[in-house]
Amino acid sequence: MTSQAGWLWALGWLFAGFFVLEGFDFGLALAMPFLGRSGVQRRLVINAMGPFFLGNEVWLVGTVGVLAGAMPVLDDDLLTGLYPLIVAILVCWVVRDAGIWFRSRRDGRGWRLGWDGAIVAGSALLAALWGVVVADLMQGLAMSAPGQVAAGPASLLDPFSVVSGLAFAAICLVHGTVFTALRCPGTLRERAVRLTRWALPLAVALLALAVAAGALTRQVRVSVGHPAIVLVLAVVLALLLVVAALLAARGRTGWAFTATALAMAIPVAMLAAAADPYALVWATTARSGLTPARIIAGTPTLSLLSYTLLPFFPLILLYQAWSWWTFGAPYNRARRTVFF
Amino acid sequence: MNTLTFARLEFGVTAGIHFMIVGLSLGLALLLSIIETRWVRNGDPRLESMAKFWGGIFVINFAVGIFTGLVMEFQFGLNWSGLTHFLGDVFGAPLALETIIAFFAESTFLGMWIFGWGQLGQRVHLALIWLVTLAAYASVFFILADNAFLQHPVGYAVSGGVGRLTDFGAVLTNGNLLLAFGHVVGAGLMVGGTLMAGVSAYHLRRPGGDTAVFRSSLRTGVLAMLVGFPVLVAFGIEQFGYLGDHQPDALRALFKALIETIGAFTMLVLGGLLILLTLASTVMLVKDRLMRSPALQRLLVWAIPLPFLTSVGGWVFREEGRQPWAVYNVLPTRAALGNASFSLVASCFVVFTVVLVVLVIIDYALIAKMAKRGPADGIFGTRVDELLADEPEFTL
Repeated sequence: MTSQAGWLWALGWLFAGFFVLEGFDFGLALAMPFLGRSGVQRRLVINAMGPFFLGNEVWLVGTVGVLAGAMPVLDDDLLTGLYPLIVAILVCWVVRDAGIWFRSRRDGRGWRLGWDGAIVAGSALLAALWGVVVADLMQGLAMSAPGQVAAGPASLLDPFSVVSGLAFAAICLVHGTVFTALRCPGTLRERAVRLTRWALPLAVALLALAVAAGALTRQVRVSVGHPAIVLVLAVVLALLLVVAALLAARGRTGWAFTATALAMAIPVAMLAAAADPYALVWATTARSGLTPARIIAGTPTLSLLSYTLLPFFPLILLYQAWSWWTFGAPYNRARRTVFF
Repeated sequence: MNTLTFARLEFGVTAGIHFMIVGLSLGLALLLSIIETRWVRNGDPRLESMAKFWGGIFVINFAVGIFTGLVMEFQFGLNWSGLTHFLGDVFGAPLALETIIAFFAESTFLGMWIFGWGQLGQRVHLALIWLVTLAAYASVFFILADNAFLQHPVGYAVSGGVGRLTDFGAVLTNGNLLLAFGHVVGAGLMVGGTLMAGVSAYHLRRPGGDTAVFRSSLRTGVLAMLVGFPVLVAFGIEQFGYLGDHQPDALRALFKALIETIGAFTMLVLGGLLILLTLASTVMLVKDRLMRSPALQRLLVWAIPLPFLTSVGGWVFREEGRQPWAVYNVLPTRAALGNASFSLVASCFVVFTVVLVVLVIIDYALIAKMAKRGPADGIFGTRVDELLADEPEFTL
């Protein structure tokens, strides 16, 4: 494998890691109004993701760091091309994070309800916006001049993107409820499993709708490189969700969570299959795009990054696994503490 | 007012807030690590209270650092693609190193440290805060490597209209970087030390606030200021010399460019006051006279905002001095701009500024409230049991 291909894999791996890990944070927050019926219960729900929260969102920081280092041109074109979406994502992100950090720092009922609202609304929008990003990238970015990206995608919020956004949010919801069932015994687990049963058909239906909307959108038909693979991946995603819901209902929450975690990584694989052989597709009448060679950093930079960063990728997995090993067990009344 | 103005203002506001937060994070992280080390060594409950109290302030401050850091990281791609298209091969590498080597570890270990109170063994918990501190300083080093590259570009060559990395060693041993790093390390100790001393002085002046925790914290804070200021000043003076050799325009503009002048004078005047306060407080530490000096204690409380203003002033001086270049003598700031429209950049500036300023105000209000309340009800180690006392129907 060339270092060029290696860094594209690293990028995909980090972005998929972000979806898998941050995905349950989004879903758990989306489920919070149904799971937690009092302020204290909502606090317990938030703290179920608590120890991992910082270690989850850092995957996006790492994704953008690798983009900036190994593929500076792709970094520019992606962020410029998705400009309004990225700004919306950042604002929702910051407001939601503020909610998580601030809500339990004061006692007032209004204060906590207000920040709970910020957490739920921010997470819902974030999940939907990431779905929109995936859909927009499948259609391709708009050009302002030949080879030059325009600020803002051609079809920011067309029906395909909107339905994809809703589908992604629903998939996160399934992932989040399964995670809650994994970490919270008792009442919260019962409610989470019940909610999984409701969220599953919603997620599968919206995913099917997104696939149909994609098939009906002309630009998607032009831009997507391997439609058959993308379709198969969508089916696998739906099957994984079904399997997860069945396992969760039987109390096998660990395996259920494994299935939803795999499902969350699939949108990144779909993106790769849709873009191939390009790194980035343009929304043009005949299929075109930027090849990996056009967006990747020069050889000196790539070899520098390969030598310095290679040992850190397994190390990251190792210490994040340590964090899960330490805090992953279900809540225990007497031993567990909360912070958020 | 054009696109360039708003893009610069947007970055300036984000980075300015970020710099205030990071300064405090750096200083407090180190002091916190030292306090927790002392606690693990001798088991004194006073030191545990101190670690939890200052740790609470540290993490609430850290939160806003994440927000501003995230917004900053994305702004390079959003607004400054002229810079990254031309010099991304050099400029991006330290960013990648920072995120993968430093920030990944910092985030993961901080999460474990926060939730590890009362759950992890003392030594493991102590190791975590030292790892967070180490990662924080590594992170600053990489980010300053990028900033130093903008100030004094080294280790690259332009071929075919694109800058390629030729010598990463030169990027990491850039004189500008080493001086700035030393300066920021000293500044961090000054910010953290002044806050610690000021908050402790506030409590000592109140009835019933004269406790072992705050006497000890006052001493630690003043000592941090004492260690911090010579480092800060030495690396600061060296930077003036360096500026004379490498950025003579910045020195010449000092008396002509208004914003740069304001920044420089804020830094020098307030910094001077802080040094005087440090020296006076140190002298009064002898025989604990500082504990009985209400006048000096009051000055220490008033001094809390000064190091924040000083560091923002210094940062404005440094960044304005580089203008009109994004990369000094290589890439004009105008050419570093991306191709987003005026309305997009301007509205984005308004949105980010409003959101970040509101959040940082709330954050500082929360920190002030925690600081005033003292260590009585810590924010770490709240047991699930205590929370569920009022929810008999609920099983867990």
